[in-house]
Amino acid sequence: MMEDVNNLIMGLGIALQTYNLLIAVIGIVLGIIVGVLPGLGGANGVAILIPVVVSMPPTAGLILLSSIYWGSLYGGSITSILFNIPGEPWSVAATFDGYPMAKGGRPGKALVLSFFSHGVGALFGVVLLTFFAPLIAEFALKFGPAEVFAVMMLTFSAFVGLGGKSPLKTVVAILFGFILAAVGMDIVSGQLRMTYGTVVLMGGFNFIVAVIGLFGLGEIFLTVEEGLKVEGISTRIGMKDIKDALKDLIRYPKALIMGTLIGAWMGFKPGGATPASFMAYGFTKQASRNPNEFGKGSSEGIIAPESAAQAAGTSATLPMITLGIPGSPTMAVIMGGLMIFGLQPGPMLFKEHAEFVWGFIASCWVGNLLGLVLILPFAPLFAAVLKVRFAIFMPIIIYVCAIGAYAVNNRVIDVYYMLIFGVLGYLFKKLDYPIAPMVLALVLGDMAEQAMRQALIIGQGSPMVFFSLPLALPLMVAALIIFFWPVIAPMKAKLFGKKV
Amino acid sequence: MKVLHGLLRSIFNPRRIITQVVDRLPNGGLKGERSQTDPFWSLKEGGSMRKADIVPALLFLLVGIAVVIDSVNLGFMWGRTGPETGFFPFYLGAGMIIGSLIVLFNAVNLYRKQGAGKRLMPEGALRPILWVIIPSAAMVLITELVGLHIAAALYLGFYMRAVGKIGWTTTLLISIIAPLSLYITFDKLFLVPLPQGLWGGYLLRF
Repeated sequence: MMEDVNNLIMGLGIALQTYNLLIAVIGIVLGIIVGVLPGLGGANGVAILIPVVVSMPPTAGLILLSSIYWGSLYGGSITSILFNIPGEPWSVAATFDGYPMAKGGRPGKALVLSFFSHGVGALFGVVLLTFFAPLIAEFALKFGPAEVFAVMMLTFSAFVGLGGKSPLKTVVAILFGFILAAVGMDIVSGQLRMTYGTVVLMGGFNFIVAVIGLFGLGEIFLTVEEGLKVEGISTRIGMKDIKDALKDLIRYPKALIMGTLIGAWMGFKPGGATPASFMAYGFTKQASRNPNEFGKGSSEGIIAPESAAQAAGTSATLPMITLGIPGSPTMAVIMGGLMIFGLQPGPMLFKEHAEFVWGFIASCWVGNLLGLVLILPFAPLFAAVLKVRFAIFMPIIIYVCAIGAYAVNNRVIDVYYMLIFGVLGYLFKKLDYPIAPMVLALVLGDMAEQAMRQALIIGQGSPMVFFSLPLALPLMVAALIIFFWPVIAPMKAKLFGKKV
Repeated sequence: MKVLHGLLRSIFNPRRIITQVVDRLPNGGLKGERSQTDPFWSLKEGGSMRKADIVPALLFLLVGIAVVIDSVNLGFMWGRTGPETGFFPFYLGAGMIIGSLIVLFNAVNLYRKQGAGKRLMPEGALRPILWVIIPSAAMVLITELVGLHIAAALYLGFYMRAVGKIGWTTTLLISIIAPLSLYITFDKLFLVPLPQGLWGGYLLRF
């Protein structure tokens, strides 16, 4: 504990250097703008800047990328509340009560409530990161290939069994992600796979290109389909708004605590900020003393999803930095940036690059705090970004996305892939195939395969190696139970539930 | 076949599973909102597009078959040094085949019973979407000739003027300033070389 505090202070020394601080401010501002613009999400904002970051020192680069994430977490809510247009998927839940409250005459209070809830969620997330990351990393050092594979199985099982979408389609989406990851050169034997004699497929699919297409273009198609009408409420934030918002935060501790805890769990599990905000909204409504107020501008209905979104975003860092398993799609892209610097996230990172890791953790504190400080006074200013016509910023977003996709590998073919992934993302969303697990499978594909093959070699071909004691067995059993949960749950209900 | 079909259906009845999931979710009122990344515009009920489900499932099936064929060719068994190259993809492909077959079964079945279900796109939505895809694809094609920035300038101008009906002044200003500033930022400041195409190098010489 004391050691962690010392490390954090050392990290703060790095994060508070003028250059890094400046980078964080730039990142947050860019992030908030990314958050405000529908069609340009956190994952994309980060992906587009990866080519820029390459020329920076690793710490500053990572600070820039993560700051964009924090900023976009904060920023998405502004337009949700003022215009009923979520700038980000995770701020959809903010429209349920935020917009009614704003319409009811208190836009300032709704914004402040949302920002403070974000702040509390962030605080919890970074505390978790600071004190649990070293523990988990220490524990993960004991992992062999079989355990690494089991942890990944657990991750993907969570999407299938607890994700809430059609479990079957989730499985298909995950397999598709893994297949895309396997295209190209086999990392172990060097043989070419699934290229079917073409040169084009030899380079494989880069997940950053996929993310830009799936999340960026896919969302743009959905926005275009729906048509974007900005009918806004203008606002200023006054002292009274801040006072009232603080009062409500204290009045509804249950919403705040539930939101934060659910968010932290969803960030770690992983699931990401979007499902976290919906879950928190649902649970809090169920547990609330006045559920009828929900949807009409209830403070609880803002506090819970907003704190959950930011808690999920920040705690998604935890599995990324300790296990190399990103807790959300955006975190996956940040991890991609990390790997470009030649830094492999995982337990060894704590041993080999302690200074870097703690600088980053400290920057999470600084960045989230900065986000709150920057967004409170300037929220109306950022909201004005949406006054720009959609037909102007939409083609620019596509243009910038194309730059991002090209710069990943300096290949024009990637820009075509980006367009194809965009159509795919649109279809996936329409047909209820989840995108997040597919992206994660694409990110972790090589690692998962390598772990599996190494484990099998250790076990001399016997799959029982995945069920060896002491660590792999419980992980694998948990993974299997969660995976088959959609089948187990009805059986359990049949056996026990009917009596009630 | 019929027995298998019935078995599959009873195990993987999507409606039962979905109902289960929705019931377990708090606030069943959030209809269909059970997704990872769904934005607000898909707050519609999911799983009702029976007909539209069929084609993607078929495509996934084809992908699965292609993967299995390739991994059988590469060898998917235990080699001299451990699992062969096709080992992992083989199981992925096999899983894909099984998964997409079940999705297909369900979709066809529901389609027979309850009709086509909801349309994939609302009426009139295809046009604006094509208006985004086709010019973007054209931009990438032109990129091969004159480089990304010039192609983007053309693309921005075209989209804003022809689709967005934005005034000439704004259109011209933005379609010059945006590519120019991005050119300076990426190519000059951060030294990220962007595609020049065949003739882009001659056209942009500063």
